[in-house]
Amino acid sequence: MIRPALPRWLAVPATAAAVFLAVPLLAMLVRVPWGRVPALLSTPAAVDALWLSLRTCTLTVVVSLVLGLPLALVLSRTRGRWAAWGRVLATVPMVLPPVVAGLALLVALSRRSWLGGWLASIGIDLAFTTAAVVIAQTFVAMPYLVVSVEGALRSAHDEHAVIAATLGASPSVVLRRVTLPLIAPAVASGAALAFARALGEFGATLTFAGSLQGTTRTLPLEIYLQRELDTDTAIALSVVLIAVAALLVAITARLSRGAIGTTSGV
Amino acid sequence: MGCDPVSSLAVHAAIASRGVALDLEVAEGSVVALVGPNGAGKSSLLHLVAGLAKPSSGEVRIGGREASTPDHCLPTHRRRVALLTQRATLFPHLSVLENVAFGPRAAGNSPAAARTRALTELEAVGCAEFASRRPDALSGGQAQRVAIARALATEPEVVLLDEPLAGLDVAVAAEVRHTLAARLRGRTALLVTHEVLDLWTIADRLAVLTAGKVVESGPVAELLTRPASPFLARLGGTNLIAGAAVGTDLLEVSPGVVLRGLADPEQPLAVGAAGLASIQPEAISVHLTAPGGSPRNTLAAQVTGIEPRGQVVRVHLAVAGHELLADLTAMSVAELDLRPGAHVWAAVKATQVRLYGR
Repeated sequence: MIRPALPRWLAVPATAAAVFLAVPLLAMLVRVPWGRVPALLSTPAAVDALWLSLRTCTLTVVVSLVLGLPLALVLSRTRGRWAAWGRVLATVPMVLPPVVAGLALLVALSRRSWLGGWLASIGIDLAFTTAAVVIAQTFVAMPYLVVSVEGALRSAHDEHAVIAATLGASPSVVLRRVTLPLIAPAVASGAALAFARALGEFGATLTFAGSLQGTTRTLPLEIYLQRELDTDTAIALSVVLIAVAALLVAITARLSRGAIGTTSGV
Repeated sequence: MGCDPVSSLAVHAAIASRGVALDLEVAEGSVVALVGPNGAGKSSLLHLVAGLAKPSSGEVRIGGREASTPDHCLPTHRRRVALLTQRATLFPHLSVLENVAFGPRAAGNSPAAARTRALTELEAVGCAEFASRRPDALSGGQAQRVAIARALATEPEVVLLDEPLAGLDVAVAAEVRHTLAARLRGRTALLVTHEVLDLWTIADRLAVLTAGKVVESGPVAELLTRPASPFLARLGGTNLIAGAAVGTDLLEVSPGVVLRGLADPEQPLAVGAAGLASIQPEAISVHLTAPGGSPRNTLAAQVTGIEPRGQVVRVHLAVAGHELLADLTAMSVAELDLRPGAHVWAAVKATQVRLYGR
């Protein structure tokens, strides 16, 4: 189908927008001291930050899947007021300023709080630990997985679940053999989004977990620290983040195309 | 609740929120077609049996077992009830063979046993050659055949069919109808349909639903050849006229207007009692002047509508306060110059009028 053309003048603001988005990234890529990148990325501080980010983001995705997937499944089947509140709860951290998220976690879990005090009394101290980083990242990243999966669950697949039940499949079998395979693309793209969000997390981590090299100082924190002391290192680390972000965007785009392919089937 | 021990399925249940109160018993091995206008409760009946709706009172028994009461509902997956809908709803992530093997696997069979069972079912519907295909590589008719195989691979106690052929092209539907009739023989099934051909081919009994109730039920042939309601007459494609018997083969359909016909020996007219006449639309001829000839009924009529239907033209006639449908050829409609409002004579041979008691 040939659609009616858009007004030609739209090309001007559209090009301006594209240039606006491209210029900072291009400027950074031009500024990268490519020859020194391997050396810059192998300093102990850089290696610590890279390794910490990889570990904490992977853990964040695992925790988000273990907790967020059940939440999405339950929300997709719940109607009424409780479901509405659940959805608000699941999306608020997406729009909350990260520093506020970090402050909220601090208020809830610091040793002076009721919950933090109780945790301390049984020997769990979260302050300035890698666990605190994972908690901060999960708090802001898990909603992306929940929203992505719940959207996929609500768009279809009820019929398949009903038919599976008439074929004798118990609820657990329906979940394992029908529902999860059908929403797998949405789960994967939600996980990729959560990973990307966790990788970029700065404010909540800094506020709640602090900035200890090798323990809580993730890539964004290291970049922020080095931005004036050693700009070249900061830029080299940034390039790593840009590359990972580009990769994740490509993966999710690929997955959403795949999802359309499966839902259009019989 | 008194329930017949030979019934494979007994529904005596109401859903207050949907305004239905349904009573139906189905003998083992019987295919019952559910007909009735939209919203009459056909889907509710299927949902009650499948465990997808809960009765607000009464109960549903499947195979002599209590399946639903207001207090307790056996979950769908423990009912051994298969469901076929208008859409095949094959699992898109599984191959055709895996789709059909899904039920046997869920029942705890080994993968090898489930595959063997699935292949047998696929062969029975003529789809064994597609076993390794993905559902999106099948045509609509093939997908529905695979869905039939998948439903029957679980050895269901009751098969529920919700307009399974409605989504298919006419030619494809005819083939799948044949397969369905063969595969359902001897099974207990409920079939929701609007297609009279399905009744004759697949079903052996008929239940008519109206406004949330089962209002009539009986063998297909009996209900369609001697329809007792306008709905059944329309479904079977005949005219139905109610009147009073004034002789063993005479029915007075309005004061002074008497139809002569053949009395049905299985349900004869009782003189003085109410009776019905059923006349096929193609048995009625239309004339501009009253025709002669003795064994005919000739009635003054007025054309109220003209409806082209492929090879024939269906002419709606108002006759002595009743509506009659007559199927004429396009040529005779043109020759007679029929148009709404025209005054004509409708004639039908006495041998073409079936008379029976109510």
